Amino acid sequence: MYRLPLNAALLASLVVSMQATAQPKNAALTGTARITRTNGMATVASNDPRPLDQAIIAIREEYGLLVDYEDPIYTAADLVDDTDPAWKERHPDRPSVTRVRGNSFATSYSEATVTSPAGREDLLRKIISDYNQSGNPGQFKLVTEDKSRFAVVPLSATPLDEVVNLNAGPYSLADAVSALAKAISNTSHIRVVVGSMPLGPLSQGTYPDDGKPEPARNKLASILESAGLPLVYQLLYDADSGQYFLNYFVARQAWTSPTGERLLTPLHRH
Amino acid sequence: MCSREMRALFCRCELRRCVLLFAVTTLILCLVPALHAQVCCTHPLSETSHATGPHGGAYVAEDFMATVADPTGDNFNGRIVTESDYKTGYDSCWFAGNTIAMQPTALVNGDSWIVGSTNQYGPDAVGWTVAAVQYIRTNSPAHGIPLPCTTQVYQLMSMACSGGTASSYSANVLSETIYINVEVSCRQGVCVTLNE
Repeated sequence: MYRLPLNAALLASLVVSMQATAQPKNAALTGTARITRTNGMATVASNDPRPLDQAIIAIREEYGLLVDYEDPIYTAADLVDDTDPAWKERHPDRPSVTRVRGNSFATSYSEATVTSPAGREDLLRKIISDYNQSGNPGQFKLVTEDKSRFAVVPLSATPLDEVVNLNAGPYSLADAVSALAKAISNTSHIRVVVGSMPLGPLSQGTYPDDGKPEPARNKLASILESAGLPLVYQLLYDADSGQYFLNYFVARQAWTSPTGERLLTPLHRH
Repeated sequence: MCSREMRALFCRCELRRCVLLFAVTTLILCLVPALHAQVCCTHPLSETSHATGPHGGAYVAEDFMATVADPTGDNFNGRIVTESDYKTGYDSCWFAGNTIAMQPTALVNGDSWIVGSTNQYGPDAVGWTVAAVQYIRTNSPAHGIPLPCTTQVYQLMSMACSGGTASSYSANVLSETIYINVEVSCRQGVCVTLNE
């Protein structure tokens, strides 16, 4: 007989599995957001289970901003069954899988305001405010990490609100993030695992931690600042396993090639 | 094209003498095989890859070294190469709502390396974190994405001159394919099978 690690999140996903009927795969969930322009107004539109996250990615890439994103702990009401019917038929004994139930979100803004730092901050606040009234899952707020770095975080706490400390000493960037994830897990009692991160020279930057306690969000921003290129993070909650994945990447800015293709190049430190 | 350092060396010369001296010196230095690539700021025309072993740590990834070359056998020791994208890649492991931040598209990081004395640079690691591979194996099929699935990026390598200009010299395809039990990492058609 198997002994399952039954926690609140797993229970929530089991409840969803029982309550929600399997939905057909939604081909409209594109995993990307687009920005279009009409008469001086721009509209960012996304269609994704996390539509705010995608909208923020599009804004970040369009204007070359450093904006991080954090999920709340989603409850059963925020989730839908996303199990592939053919897979379920082949694996009737395996648990179903869920996803966040968000879908479409769009908001318009004047691009004239984006030219100043205050205007960019106002734009992010407007997007979050509009999102919070959209009926999609989660309620969010903006945290200003420093004059050029923001985080979109839930109104409820996340593990990155915890005060943590690392053993003092120089770390490689990748080791520092892993140590931080472990420290957050120990303090918050919610498992935080590093999911995706850059490979290669970028991950080998040196981070000299002073060993002093600090809010995990601030410490993470400091670690990412030690990289050669600007990095951004996404802290995403996995309801099926009851843990967070901490993912971090090179921040990029969009440009259009001579052939008309939209390309992304890494941001550089100013 | 000569380097900024060369120009600075002769900046106090009277203009005509300076131009002449500059041109002659450059020509002489360009003829020295060991200095040819640096002084004349030539760039390679190609590179080849070879696998050197697993990246280790928290990754399921292979390290590749690359060797740059041109037809005259120049030495590019000390020169910097940088990767960018020559077109947008894809990630067929992606499904909407995943929690390891996979996107339908995939891109290189924009890393740089310094070329060594044997015209090699690296390692250029191709792969995923262990946690991401486990996540994909556990979750992608249940969300309707069968294995194997592949992430592929289109890497454009450029070499910079000391003056700041850079020339592209190699367009490489890099991929990592996740199977049920193994992962295959490829760079320029050189592929290695990895076990977790």
